[in-house]
Amino acid sequence: MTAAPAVLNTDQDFPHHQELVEERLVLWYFIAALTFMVVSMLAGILMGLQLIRHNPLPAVELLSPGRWRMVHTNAIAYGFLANAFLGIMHWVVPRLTLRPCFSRSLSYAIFAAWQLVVLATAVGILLGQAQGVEWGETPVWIDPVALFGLLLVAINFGTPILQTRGPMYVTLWYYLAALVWTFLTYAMGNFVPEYFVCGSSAGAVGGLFIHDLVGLFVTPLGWGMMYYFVPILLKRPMWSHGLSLVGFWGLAFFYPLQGIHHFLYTPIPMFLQYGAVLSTIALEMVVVTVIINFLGTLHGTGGLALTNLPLRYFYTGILFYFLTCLQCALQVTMTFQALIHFTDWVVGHAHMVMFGVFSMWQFGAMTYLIPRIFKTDWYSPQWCEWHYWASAGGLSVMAGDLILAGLFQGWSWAALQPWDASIRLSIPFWSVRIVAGLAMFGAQILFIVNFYLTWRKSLRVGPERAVSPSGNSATA
Amino acid sequence: MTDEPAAYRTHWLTWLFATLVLVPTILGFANKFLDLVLVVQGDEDGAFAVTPIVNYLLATAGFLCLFVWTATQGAFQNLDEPSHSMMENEHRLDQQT
Repeated sequence: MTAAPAVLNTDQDFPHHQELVEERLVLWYFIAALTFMVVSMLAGILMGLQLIRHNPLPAVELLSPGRWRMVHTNAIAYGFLANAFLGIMHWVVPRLTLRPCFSRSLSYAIFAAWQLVVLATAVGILLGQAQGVEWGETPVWIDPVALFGLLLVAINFGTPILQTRGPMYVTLWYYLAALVWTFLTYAMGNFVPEYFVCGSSAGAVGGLFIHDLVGLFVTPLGWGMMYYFVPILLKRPMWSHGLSLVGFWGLAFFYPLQGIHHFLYTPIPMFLQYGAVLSTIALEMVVVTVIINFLGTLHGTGGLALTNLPLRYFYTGILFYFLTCLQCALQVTMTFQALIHFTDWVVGHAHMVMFGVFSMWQFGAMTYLIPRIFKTDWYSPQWCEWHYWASAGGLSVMAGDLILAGLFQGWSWAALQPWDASIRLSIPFWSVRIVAGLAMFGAQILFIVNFYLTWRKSLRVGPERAVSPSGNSATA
Repeated sequence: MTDEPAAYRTHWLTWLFATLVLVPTILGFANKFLDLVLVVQGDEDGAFAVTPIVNYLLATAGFLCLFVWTATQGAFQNLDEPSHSMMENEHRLDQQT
């Protein structure tokens, strides 16, 4: 812990942005993330077509629907979210710590290795080598490589964070914890059920893994970036940094036992199931502290959340986050679970979390950072607006549609209707889901084209000017 | 850097929410720990539950140690200072470009 103080007083000592941030790598991560987003959404659309009985690739074993589904989930978790988070961290961590990452060469090596891991996972899944753990379908031979990669990521980002002196900003707390948690969670989910325990115990660990992947990998990285980007876009510090620390420590103590709520009504002892239910409901209090803090920070400048596109992405994600957590507190109760378990309610909930919250936040960060890195405004701010509305609108329709479908399916099963009856009543909902999914997919294609044309524009005209750090370059 | 009313508000709000979060956490933790002791003492059918609980205890113990260490390092003395220094550093980095 011998390093730069939180604020360096002399200009000679103060590092330059160019010395800290490897901007090219940030862009590369975004390109990789968006590429895997396209792959994931294509797989999702194929699966959606299968559900409405229009499988475009029948009788092709390598592209059977069960495998698409795993490509869809793994590509979004490890291909899109992880890549985008790594790119954002390459911007945020050096600027917050005023130190570059541990090693520039290591940063590029991690980038290349991570793309190989995700590609190998996709190929392994398509070849039928998936591991039998939900969200942990990475073939077993990839697991040690991925874990080693996560260790390198922890070293690369952890070094500058640990070198900061004095009280740390909350983003760095979240990032530091995420680096440790992700490594441990990945090891727990991929190795413990595979090699050490079996039966219900393996199920319980699998439940922890599913939820910890969301709560201890994606959530801290997501909130970490939010605590960084929102204050700098609003040009004011967080309403209460102390309250943000309550949120962080609350997450640390509440989250680890929640996952068993995925296995209610199973042979897992009831006290564990009730413990998971209670800790899930209790986490709502932590969520409320976080929401209050972000609303307090916005207080008096609410109009900016409408006119500033990156901020609009961030606060839309916060709204979805609140909704998903509220939904979570309800759906983990035993009564509610009896109705919605195995239904499309859960699928709607998962899409609202992964796309409505974390993907929206990452789109907001990309919308803000890409013109800053290219030093030119977006090629088409209007297309950025379309990207937002089609993404947010499509997701709202899809999540609402699936949540409603889940209720109908649950009631159909509870009424002891034949299985076919629940399929027939689901077809209209699944048809709407395809339309919403196509709108979301179209939005991403538009964003990628805009990204490409913005790059071409930056080559053509050179740096136009220093793009405003307020993020207004995406406002039409 | 912060005015008195804001600092006072931060102080009592932090303690209020910390209490709201910590009291149920401690109660829940004690309850689960008691269940673990009962399982280990006699319920053979539920013995496999030890795996996830030990998992949780290890994670929580780690964070408890980190929390205590952080408190002893003075991280909770001036809660809003990191927020202000972050804004100042960002401003200076942006001014360079």
